Amino acid sequence: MRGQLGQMLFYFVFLSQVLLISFYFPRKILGRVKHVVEKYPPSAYPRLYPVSLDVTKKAQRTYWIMNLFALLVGIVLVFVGLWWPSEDMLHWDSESVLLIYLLLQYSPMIIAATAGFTYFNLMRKADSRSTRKAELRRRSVLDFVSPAVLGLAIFVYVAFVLVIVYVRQFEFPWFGGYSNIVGITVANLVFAGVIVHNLYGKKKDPYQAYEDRARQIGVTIRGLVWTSILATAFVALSIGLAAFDLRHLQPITLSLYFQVLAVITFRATRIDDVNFEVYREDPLAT
Amino acid sequence: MEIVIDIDNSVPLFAQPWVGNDVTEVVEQIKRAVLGGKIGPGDALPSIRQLANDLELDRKMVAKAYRLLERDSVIQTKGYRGTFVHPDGKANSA
Repeated sequence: MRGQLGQMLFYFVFLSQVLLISFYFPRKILGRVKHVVEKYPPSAYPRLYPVSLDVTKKAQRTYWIMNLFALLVGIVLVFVGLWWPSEDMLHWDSESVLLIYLLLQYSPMIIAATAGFTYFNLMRKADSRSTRKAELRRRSVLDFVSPAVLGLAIFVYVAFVLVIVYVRQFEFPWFGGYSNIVGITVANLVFAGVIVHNLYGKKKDPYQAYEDRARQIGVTIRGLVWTSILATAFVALSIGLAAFDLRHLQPITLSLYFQVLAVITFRATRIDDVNFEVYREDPLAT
Repeated sequence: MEIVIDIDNSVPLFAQPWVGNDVTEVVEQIKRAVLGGKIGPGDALPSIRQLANDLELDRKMVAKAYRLLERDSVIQTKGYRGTFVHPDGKANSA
C-alpha cells in the first residue's frame, strides 16, 4: 500500500470488515435466534426443537465466542498494521492475510451451517407424519430471479471471457491469462450446482411451508446470481487495477468485496414472514 | 395444487416392479387435478427429480407415473422444455 493515507484508508475499510462480519452480523443472528426461542417456545412448537434448548444455547455460546475470537484477531491486525506500518499486512502479502482472516471470520458460520444439517436430520428423524406433499408446479430459475438480472449475469460472464481472450494476445507481465476464466467458470459452475440443488433437491426442513421454501430458494438464487456478477466484476476490477499500476488498491477492493458478500449471506438468514405454525405439534389446533 | 402421498402405504418397487401404490397414487392425483381443472392444458408439471424429491419417492416411481400418464395422453413431454398437461388431458383423464 502506498502512502500513509492509503494505509489509513485500507485499515479503515478492514476494520469495517472486522466489525461487520465478526460482530454486527453474529449479534443480529443471535438476536433472531433469541427472538424465535422467546416467541415460539419448545412447549408450543416442539417440532422446531429436535434437541433440548440447553444444547442450542451451548451452540449459540460457542458461535459467539468464535466470533469474538475473530473480532479480537481483527482488531490486533489493525493495531499491528497502524503501529508497525509496512508495505503489506504483517510484512507479508495483504491479500493472503485478508483471505486467511476471512476464513477465520467465516468459520463460525460454516460450523453453524454444518450443525444446521445435523439439526434438520434430527427434525426429519423425529417427523412421524406418513404423508408427503408436493406442489404440482414446476420450479424454474426465472420464477425467482428476473430475466434482466439473469441476462446481466450471463452478459457479464461472456463479456469477461471475451475481454480476457482479447487481452491475452498481448502477453502483459501482470496478466494472469486464462486462469482468470478458469477461476470464474469454476465459481459459476459451483453456483449453478447450488441453484439446481435448491430448485430440485430435497427440502432440508421437513415441516417447512411451501411459501417459505419458495422464499428461501428465491433469496438463495438471487444471492448467488448477484455473487456471480460481483465475482466477475471484482476479478475484472483487479485486472484493471493491475493494468493501471494500481495494485496497491487491491487489498481495499478485496475487503470491500468480502463485505458485500457478507451482506448477501446475511440476507439469506432473514426470518421475517416465516410460517412458524408448521412447527406446532398439531397445526390444526391453532 | 398439491399432491399428497402416504409413504407408509407404499408397495416397494422391488415387490411390484411394474406398478406400485405410489405410482398409482401419483397417476390418479394428477388425473384428478387435470379433470378438476386445477391444472389446465399446457401447464408445466414439475420435473421428475423435483416431484420425486418433494414427495420423497424414488425417481423411478415418478418416471413410471409420468410414462403411464403420457401413454394415456394426459400429459406430454416436450424434450428439454419439460412435461406439460396434454391439450386433450381433461378428456383423457376421465
